[in-house]
Amino acid sequence: MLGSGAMVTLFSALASALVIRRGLGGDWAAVALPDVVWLNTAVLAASGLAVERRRWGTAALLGAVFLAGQALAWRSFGATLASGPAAAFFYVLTGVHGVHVLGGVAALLANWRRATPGSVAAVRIYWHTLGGLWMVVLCLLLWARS
Amino acid sequence: MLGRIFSTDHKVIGKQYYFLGLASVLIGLVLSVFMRLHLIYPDRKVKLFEMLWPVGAAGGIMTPELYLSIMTMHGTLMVFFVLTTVPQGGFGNYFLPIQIGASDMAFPRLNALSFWITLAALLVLLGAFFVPGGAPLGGWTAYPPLSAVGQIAGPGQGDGMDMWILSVALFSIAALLTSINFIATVIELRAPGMTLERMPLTVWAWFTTAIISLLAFAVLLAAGLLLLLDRWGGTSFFLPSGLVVSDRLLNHSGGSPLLWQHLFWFFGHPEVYIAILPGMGLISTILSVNSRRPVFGYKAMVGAMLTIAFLGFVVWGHHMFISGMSPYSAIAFSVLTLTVGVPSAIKTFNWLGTLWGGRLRLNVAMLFALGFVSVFVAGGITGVLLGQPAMDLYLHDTYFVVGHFHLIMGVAAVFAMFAGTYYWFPKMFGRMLNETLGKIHFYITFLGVYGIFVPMHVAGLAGNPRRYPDFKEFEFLSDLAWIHTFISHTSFTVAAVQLLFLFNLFWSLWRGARAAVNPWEATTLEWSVPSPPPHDNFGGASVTVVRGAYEFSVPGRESDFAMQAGETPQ
Repeated sequence: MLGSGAMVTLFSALASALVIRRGLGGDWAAVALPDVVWLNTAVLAASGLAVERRRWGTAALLGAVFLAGQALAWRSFGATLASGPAAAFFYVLTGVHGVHVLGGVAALLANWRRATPGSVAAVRIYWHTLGGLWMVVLCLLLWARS
Repeated sequence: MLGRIFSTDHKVIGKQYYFLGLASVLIGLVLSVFMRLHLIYPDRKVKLFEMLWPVGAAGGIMTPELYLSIMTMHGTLMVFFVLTTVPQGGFGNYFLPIQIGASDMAFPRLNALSFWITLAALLVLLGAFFVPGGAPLGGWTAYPPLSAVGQIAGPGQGDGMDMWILSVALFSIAALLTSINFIATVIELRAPGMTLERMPLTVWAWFTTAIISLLAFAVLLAAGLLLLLDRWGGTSFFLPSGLVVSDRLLNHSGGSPLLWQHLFWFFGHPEVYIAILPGMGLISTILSVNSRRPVFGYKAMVGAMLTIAFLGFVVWGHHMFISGMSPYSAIAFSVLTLTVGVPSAIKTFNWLGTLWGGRLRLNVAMLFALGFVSVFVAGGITGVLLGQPAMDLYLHDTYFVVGHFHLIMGVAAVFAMFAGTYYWFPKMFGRMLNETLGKIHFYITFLGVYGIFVPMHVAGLAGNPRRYPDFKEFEFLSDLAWIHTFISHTSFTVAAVQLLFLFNLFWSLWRGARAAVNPWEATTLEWSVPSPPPHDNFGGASVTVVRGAYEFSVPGRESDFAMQAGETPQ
């Protein structure tokens, strides 16, 4: 739960940076989101369901698929980090989120091996926070696209 | 041996943090002595400088760039590795679990990991001295654009700046892990009977501080990531269009250095309270123990701490009054800033209320606690002045601010650390510190810090700018030369007296008188267990807490204090 608090603040800082940065200059070049992010969203939602059913292995696998999908999105993204603020925020937000998902996958695998009531509660909260944050990131990126 | 170094015992980790902070404070202190030396003798050749910095002090004369990098490293070391590390990581780690009756922190291995990450952060920071170009010179606030454009902004802004960002990022990660651990421990591991209202104020302070650092360091981490991307990824978060540095037009556009200032101070202001709140909790306890009276207004003290923690997050703009912000925003930040004075005044009033009518025991811990209250008031008063935008516009880049924040943040927190050392040393190491040496240490330090920082206020009022490596080119400052001579010599004296403290510390470690279980006749749980406490703190006994933390001089009782622990655990 506490880790979630720190994550939410981290993303709040990045989100406020995005909002302010967008308002700053006339250099905000719109970039299209790769279509694969919608598939990734569905995969992440499915992993959330798996967590609820205590299918740790399945959830971890789906988490890994999500990460692979995000890597695909990075590759098919039509701009580089340096090509403009919108593109930069795409990489920063998905990157930071991805690092947290990676940690989450490790936690899911740990639960798969051995789950205690404490670890179940912690992993559930952590994973659902990441799912929620992904929705926020997605909204920010959609907004940044326009 | 390895098992003892890489221990997961919170007491070992607490001591490790303490000595990490001690090493950092010594380096930071020496750096400040170098600065004060250079300020009054800018043209004198100093062999030592040349030996340490063959490039930056070629011929023994410090370049302006070297002066700024020494200033940057002094600030970074002191703020992160001393003020943040010792009160929370050191004393907090050692005493929080014992004071709530737990055998360790909630996540002992995570705790050890936090320490080793902090140590890595320190080594990376110190490594900045040794990379090409040397240490960064942008101050501990690392303002862009000059922190974001690399070597062309100055010798230390290349590799040195990267090391700085990496160090701060590592430190932030460790601080986040530590705060998660602290909060979980307080919520989950309190012994039976340790209700929230019976918690010592130290525990409340560590708990509140952990909440603040959980929220603040995450923002610093995000800001550091963006800064690193501006340096290496070609992005323009903090870099505006048309920027020319060292006659070169940069290929960035659309960003804003102000964005960094907002993110940085959203962390930076709460950081002040991260440094001072644990001290406030400790000072409350020491004043109570040594005046044999309960803490006056316990609940108000808790409320004031939580209020300060909250207000700390909404006043960051007062660091940016001179950034060209709208006067309307400035007024809002100003009013909120002045509001911080209310809980601060509550705390001061309650400290005085605790002392009132008490039977004072003026041991060294108590003296430093009284000194804390003194410098807290002296440094806080000028905070009210600086909280006015109109005053700040004039004073912001002068020595007035240097005097102000050193008193309230630096000296107050350091006094709390000294008080904590004299108070808890017997418990941590099983031996007493020498009180006579301690009193000499206190009186000279106490008079000395006023001798250093009050004249700085005067110099600031006279318009003496800060961060300048020397003043000889400025006609209007020539009248102030004697003030700087006085400040420098006082600072050399104070620095020398710290050797006495070091001697006392290390001599007492081996030769000090054996400490009893409860030498101060205090009431909290750590004074019910042997000095030093056994591996799991209570020797396997289950602890029950039967009363509040500050039951002194209760009418009708035989003894003038009553322990929190129900039975003496064996």
